[in-house]
Amino acid sequence: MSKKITISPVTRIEGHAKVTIFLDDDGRVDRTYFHVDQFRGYEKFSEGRFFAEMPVITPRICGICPVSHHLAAAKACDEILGVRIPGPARLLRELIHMGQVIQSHAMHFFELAGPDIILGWDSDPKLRNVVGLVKANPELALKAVRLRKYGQTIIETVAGRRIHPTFAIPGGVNTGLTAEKRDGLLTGVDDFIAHLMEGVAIIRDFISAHKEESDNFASFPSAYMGLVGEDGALELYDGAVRVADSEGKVIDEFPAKYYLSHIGEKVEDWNYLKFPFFKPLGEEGFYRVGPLGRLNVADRISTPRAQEEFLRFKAMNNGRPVESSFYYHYARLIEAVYAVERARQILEDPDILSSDLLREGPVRCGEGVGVLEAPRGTLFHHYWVNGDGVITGANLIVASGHNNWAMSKAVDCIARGYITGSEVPEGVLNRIEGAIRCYDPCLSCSTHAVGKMPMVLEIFDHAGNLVDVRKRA
Amino acid sequence: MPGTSSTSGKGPERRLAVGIGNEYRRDDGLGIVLAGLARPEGFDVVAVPGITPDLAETLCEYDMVVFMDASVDGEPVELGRVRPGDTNLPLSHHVTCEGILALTEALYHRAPEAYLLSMRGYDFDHGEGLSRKARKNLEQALVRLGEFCRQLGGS
Repeated sequence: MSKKITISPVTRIEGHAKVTIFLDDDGRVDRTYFHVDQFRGYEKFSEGRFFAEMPVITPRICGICPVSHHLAAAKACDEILGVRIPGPARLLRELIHMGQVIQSHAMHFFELAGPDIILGWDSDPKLRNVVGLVKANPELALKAVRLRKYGQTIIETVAGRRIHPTFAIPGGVNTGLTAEKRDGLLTGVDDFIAHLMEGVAIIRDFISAHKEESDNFASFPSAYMGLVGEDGALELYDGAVRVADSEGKVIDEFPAKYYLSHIGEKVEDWNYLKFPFFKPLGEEGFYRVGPLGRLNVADRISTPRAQEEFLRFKAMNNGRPVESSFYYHYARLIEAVYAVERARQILEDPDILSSDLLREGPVRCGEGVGVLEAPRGTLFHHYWVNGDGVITGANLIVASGHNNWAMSKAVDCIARGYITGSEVPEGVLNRIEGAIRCYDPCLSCSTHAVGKMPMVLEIFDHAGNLVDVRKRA
Repeated sequence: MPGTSSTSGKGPERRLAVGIGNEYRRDDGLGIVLAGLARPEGFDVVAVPGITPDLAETLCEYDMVVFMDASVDGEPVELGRVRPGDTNLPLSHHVTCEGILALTEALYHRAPEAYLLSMRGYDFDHGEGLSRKARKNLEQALVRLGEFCRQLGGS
């Protein structure tokens, strides 16, 4: 087997994905690697900055879920101030977070998952894309665009701008919500839930029609991690970190600020991104986060329509964790239903119009940890500051990092299941990409430039010779 | 001559300049910086970290769009026509200029006449500020954009 795998710096900057497959003497898949971009640069970049800048700086990490970084940073800053933010400020922050989840999940279903589900894994690749989906089901496409717009409208209405908001500040938020704006955001909520339930029905129908492949699609045991409320309900903005084992047994639940005692990170020489692991299970204690991880650790969902669907989801494997990577798509839509329902709950809370929005104070703590569930998984922001509030160290663990091992495992499962020899039919290449799409990783979120290459697949024979390269340009 | 084949058939009426990039990744922010500096007359200007599908809803309301973005290779500054094209980016959340035009056309049955003003970047590391060579390209892009606007009969 070739020992030398090179990922050039230019490749890393461009943020593309690379899959490398090694074949054994018999031409069967020996091992598959999935290489991804990394985010450590932002941690060094943060050092020397005043802590209160972090909610403005860190959203630049991601153009898709900037609100998640904005809020995680603000939560870490609250801890540095040593304050509990006012209830109305918490509601407003959670509301824009729901907007983020709605827009991100809706886009994923429409742009990345939809073409496989609606047009088929093996359909013509020239048509198996978002435009093909529009042609196949224009009404659904318009609904998906409206859903994404609704999520963005929540963010823009509450936070003032939908990209890189400056709304959440240490100790609370800087703007309240008017009754007029609240009423505007409540308009059409039932329609949005109906749109999402249409998507849920499409996924359920697809699973029914392709049960065996869906059940076995990059399916493997792992632990799972996600935030839960005090009653064990799904939580996206705040809560304790719960870890369940591969049988679904809760093996840990801890306040997020103690994450360093529970989560370690190790490095591999073939990947820029670190591999987090759950310390009590040792360095092989890999877990999955994101929609599948969250639903596998949660006991319930606190909103009615999402809870109904959650019960169906749980029943799929008789209450045990759902293991197939494909079911990330199903879990994602259930969460989107929850996010719309939760947005309505928040908007109907009388406190949402309160002007009690901020607790100010001096720097009281030398460090702060902010954690929430970003659309793709648990997001940790941890800052250390000196007495003047200047950042002396930062640690960020992003969702695509948590799922690093899982994504590599997923492509390995698909490669082993579908590839025989050096030939990779287009439908198999699509399934390999599809396994990655299940996790919805941020591969190119740090930069965007003309000339990027989003996907390269390389196959090496047993002697280390490159025998095939497939690219998506 | 730009602007002679607008979707309305009556010449461009609504024009949009879209700055794309991340100003905290040095030269990747070229499009954003240009969007902040340039005030092309007759154009609305927006800045986005990347093109996502929802931009289609905005584009369908315009007759002309100029995308302004950093490039990792090619000429220091290039201005060229872009047309609806490939949308198959199997792992990316971002859409290409060609892809968003195709999506706009598919969703709303119209797409603006579109141009891409690309500026070569050299340093995409974490940090603020453009590299010296990128700043030079930015100056050149400002001139090029001004010429383009004059051709349209604008500023």
